[in-house]
Amino acid sequence: MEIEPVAEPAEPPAPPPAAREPIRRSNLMTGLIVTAPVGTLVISVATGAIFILGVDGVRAIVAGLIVGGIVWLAMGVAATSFLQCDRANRSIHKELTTRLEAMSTDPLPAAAERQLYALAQELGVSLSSVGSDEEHRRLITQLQNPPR
Amino acid sequence: MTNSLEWALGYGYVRSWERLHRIEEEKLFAAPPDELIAEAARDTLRLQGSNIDNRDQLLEQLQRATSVLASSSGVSAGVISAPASALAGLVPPFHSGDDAVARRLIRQVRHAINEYRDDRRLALVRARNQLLRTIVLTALVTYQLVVLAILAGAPRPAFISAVAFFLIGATVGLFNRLYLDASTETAVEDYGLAASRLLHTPVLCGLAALGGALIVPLLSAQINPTIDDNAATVAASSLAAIFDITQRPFTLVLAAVFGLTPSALISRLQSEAEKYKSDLKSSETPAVR
Repeated sequence: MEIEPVAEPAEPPAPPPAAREPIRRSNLMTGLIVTAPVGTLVISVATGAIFILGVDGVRAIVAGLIVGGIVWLAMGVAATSFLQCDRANRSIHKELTTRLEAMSTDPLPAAAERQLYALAQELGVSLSSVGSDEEHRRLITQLQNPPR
Repeated sequence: MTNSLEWALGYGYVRSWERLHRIEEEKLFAAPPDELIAEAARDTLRLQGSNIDNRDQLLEQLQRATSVLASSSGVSAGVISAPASALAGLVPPFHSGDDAVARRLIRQVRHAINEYRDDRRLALVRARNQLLRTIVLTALVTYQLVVLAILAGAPRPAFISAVAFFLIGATVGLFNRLYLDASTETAVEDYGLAASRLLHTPVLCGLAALGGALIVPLLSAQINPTIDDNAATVAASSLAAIFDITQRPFTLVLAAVFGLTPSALISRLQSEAEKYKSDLKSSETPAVR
């Protein structure tokens, strides 16, 4: 098996200021999509409530759309805080990071270690104790001369 | 799909599990024989309790590979004894090539278990996202009903009655949901499927209650010959009369009964999800190793 030297992964570069606006817009769109099931219900509730309160016809519908739309937008903006991988589903993120950290303490083949680093970076985890060069050498020796 | 949407919809986590599993399989392939045998024993226990389709073949494959590894590395403790059929044709001494084949076989079995679990996770995520889309569509239909009632000039008391029927159906549906939830498996992560079902229940049950409260009086007026013809015609033609709870308080009971009708659909959705969760649970690493 070919075991290659491991390169330290670089920190992800911060997005330039001009690129932040599309990211924010994309996050807002995601927030609106995620809150769509509740948002569409809120519009119905708002329209019905406005009609019951005494506004008639098209005015009730338009007012319901505006009020419901504003509430939906607010929910979408609030949801943008929960879109990162560590906040969208905390329990799964925790489970994944625990497994990653446990795996990083054991020696790994170079290709697997690179993948581990890449995954850790995507999940926002810093792996402190990844197998050292000495462990790599031990692993290579072990693979070339397995104990009988 | 943007990265944040992937996390929010749950696909990102499934993809991360898949990547983590590929790393784990690489690590397993390169592990020392003692660790490999221990991991194979663990996979044997996982397979024995699982619902994986080709479980028996995988178990046999695992046992053959473990026997070769154990024999070539001189290990005997912790090796699960293989049935005679699994060991047929295996005669030591083994060659170095056999060792590599055994490692590959163990990795393949781990890959099969991981793939099975990842498929179940993906199924849960897909079911949840499908349900969320259904909720959006159902909510849009509800909105159209509200708009139609307003534009058609529905009297306000009738509109309030319709809202009351909807709410009664939603409440009854949620109570029924509590009953169904008593039998659910909560130890396995369901990627938000239960929460989506909880949101789906009041909308669906409310609409069913509203439909029931409308259809039953209309039908009874048409098919019951004992009712005065004139009164029946008036009742059937006037939606305002049907949606008047002061005149027809019994319609509230009808709404409650019809609020329970989507329970068959909801329990079917639930049983599908429970199957995926039980598959995940059955192929988990056993507590006692």
